[in-house]
Amino acid sequence: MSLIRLKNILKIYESQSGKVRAINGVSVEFESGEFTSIVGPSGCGKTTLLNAIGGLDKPNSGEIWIDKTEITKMSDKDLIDFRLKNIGFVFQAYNLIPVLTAIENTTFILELQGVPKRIRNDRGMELLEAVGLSDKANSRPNQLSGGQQQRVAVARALASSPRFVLADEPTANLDSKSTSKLLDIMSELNSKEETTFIFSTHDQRVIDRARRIIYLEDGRIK
Amino acid sequence: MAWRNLGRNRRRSTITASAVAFALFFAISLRSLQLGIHEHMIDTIIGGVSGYIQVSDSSYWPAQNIDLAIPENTRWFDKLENDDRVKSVRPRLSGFNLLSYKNESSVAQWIGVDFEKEDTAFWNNKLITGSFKDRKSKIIPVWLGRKLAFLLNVNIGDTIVGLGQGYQGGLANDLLLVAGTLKLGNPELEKRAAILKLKDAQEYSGAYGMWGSVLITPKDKKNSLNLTSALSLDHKLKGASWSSWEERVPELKQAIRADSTGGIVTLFILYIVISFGLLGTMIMLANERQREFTMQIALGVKRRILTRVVLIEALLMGLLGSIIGITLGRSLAYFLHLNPPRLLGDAALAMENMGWEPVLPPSLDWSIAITHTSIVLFIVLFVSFWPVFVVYKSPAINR
Repeated sequence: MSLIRLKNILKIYESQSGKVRAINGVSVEFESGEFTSIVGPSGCGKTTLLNAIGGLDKPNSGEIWIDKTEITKMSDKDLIDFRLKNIGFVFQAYNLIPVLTAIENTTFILELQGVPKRIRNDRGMELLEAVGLSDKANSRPNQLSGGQQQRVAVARALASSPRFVLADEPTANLDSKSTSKLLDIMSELNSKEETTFIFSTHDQRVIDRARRIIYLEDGRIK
Repeated sequence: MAWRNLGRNRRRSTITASAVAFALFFAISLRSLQLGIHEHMIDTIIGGVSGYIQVSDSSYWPAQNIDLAIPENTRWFDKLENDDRVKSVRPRLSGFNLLSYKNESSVAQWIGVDFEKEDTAFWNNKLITGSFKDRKSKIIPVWLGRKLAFLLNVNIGDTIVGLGQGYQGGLANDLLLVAGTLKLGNPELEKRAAILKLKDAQEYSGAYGMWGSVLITPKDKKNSLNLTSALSLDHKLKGASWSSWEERVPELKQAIRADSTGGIVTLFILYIVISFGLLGTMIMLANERQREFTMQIALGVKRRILTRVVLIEALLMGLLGSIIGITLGRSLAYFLHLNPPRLLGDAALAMENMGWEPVLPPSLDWSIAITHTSIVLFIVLFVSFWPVFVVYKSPAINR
C-alpha cells in the first residue's frame, strides 16, 4: 500500500474575482522512500497541494490517506498531533525560532515529543553533522546565513524520523552553492534514512535531482 | 523559551516592565501614605481614649452611666491580656460632674485611667503642661483637657472642686488638684475630659472595685471589627457588651472610607491607563509573533503550549516590573516612615489644634504591596489574553 494516497482532491479559494479552483480533482499516490518534486508555474497549486498533504489546509472534497489514516476527517487538534508525530516540514523562508540555537531548533520537535535531553541532543548533533553545521550548534539563527538556516530547518524536519518530509520551495531564497549543498544533504538523507521527500518547486536544480516529477497546471496533474 | 523571548524585543519588554513598575510604585506610595494617615488618625482619636474594642455593661453605651459599671474581674482580665491577638487591655471608669474653680464652673466627664496598664508614651505625648509624677499632696490629682482648663481658667497646682453623681445614688464630690493639661485629639473631649487615676476615680465616685469599661487594643488594629466578636466569644463576660470603634464612632469610619475611596478612584484611573498601555505592548507582541505561531502550529506545537509560553513571558515581564515597583515603592514608604513629611502653616496648626502631630507617616503594611501586585499581575495576565486569542485564531498556514 502506498504511503500517501490522494483521491480526487478539490480545493477552492474565494477571491475578489470569484472562486478559484487551486486543486481541481487531483488523485495521486506516493510510495515510501520517494524523492519527488511537484513542479509547475506560479499559482498552479503546488503549495496548496503540499499543504493539503501535510494537513495544514483542508480540501473542499476528496480524501487524503496517510498509510491507514484519513487525515481529511481529522479535527484541527488531532491534526496538530498527527503532524508532530508523522510529518517533517521545510518551509520556503527558513522559519527557525529566533531565540533558540541551531541544536535547540533541530531538537525542538523531539522536545515536544518528550524525548529525553541526552537522546535528543545526540540526534540533533548527528543531524547537524549530516547537514555540515556541527560547528554552528550553539549559534542562533541570526548568526547563520540563509543557506545554513535552511540546512538547520532540514535537520529539524528529520529529527523525529518522520514518515515523510514536505518541503515547500526550499531553495527559493538560496544561492546556487547553498542549493546544491542542501540538495546533496537531502538526497543523502533520503538514501541513508530512507525518508520520503516531497518538494514543491519551480527550481530547475531541484527538478534535475528529483527521482519522480509531478507536473501541475491549473490545479490538475498533467 | 519564554525567558529568552524577553530579550527578543528589549524595548517592548522594558516598556511593559516599566509600566508595571510605575503603576506599582505609584500605587504603593499613594496607598501607604493614605492608609498611614488613616492609621495615625485612628490611633490618635481612638487608640488612647475610647479604645479599638470596648467592653462594658450591655446598657452602658452611649449614656456611660456610672450605675452600669461592671465589677472588676481580674481572672477574666488576665486571660484577655494574655490572648495572642491582644496588644493591651486597660480598664476605665468614668462619670459626669461639675468642676468649679473660683467663679468658673464647667460640666466635665471624669475618666479614671490605670496608668500602670496604659501606654506611657501615649499619655506623655498628650501632656501639654504639668506631669504624671506622684505628688506629695493628699488631694486627688486631675489632668484636664486643655480647653476645659482654659474654661475654668486654672493653672498647674490649682485646686478645683468636683461635684456630681456617684455610684448608685452616692455623691461624687472632692477637691481635685490640677496636675496637668492634655491635648486629646478631639475638640469635644478637650472641653470636657478630666483624667483621674483609676483608684482615685473609684474612691471619688464610691464605685470601689468597679470598672465602667475595659478598652482593648488588638495587635491587628485593622481587624478590630471581626476581632470584637471573636474575642467576645472566647472571653465571655456575663452581662457585658463588646463594641468596636467602627460601631461607636461611625462618622470617623465614614470619613476614612470617603477619603480612601478617593485614593481608590485615582488608582482605578491609573490602572485603566496602564491596562491600555500593556494591551498595546501585547498587541505588538501578537503581531510580531503571528507568523511564528503559524509556523509552530504547522510543525505540531499544540496551541496550549504556545499559550503557556505567551502567558509565562507576560508573567515574567510583570514580575520583573513588580520587583522594581515594590522595591521603589516600599523604599520610599520606608524612608518617609523614618522621616515623615511634616505639614506646615495653617494645615499643621489645624492638626495640632485637633491634638494630632502634624505629620503624615506612611503605612508599612505589606498587604498594600501584595494587594496591588496581585492587581497589576492580574491586569498583565488579562491583557495577555490578546496574544492567546491570536494563538487560537492562527491557522496552520500563512495565506
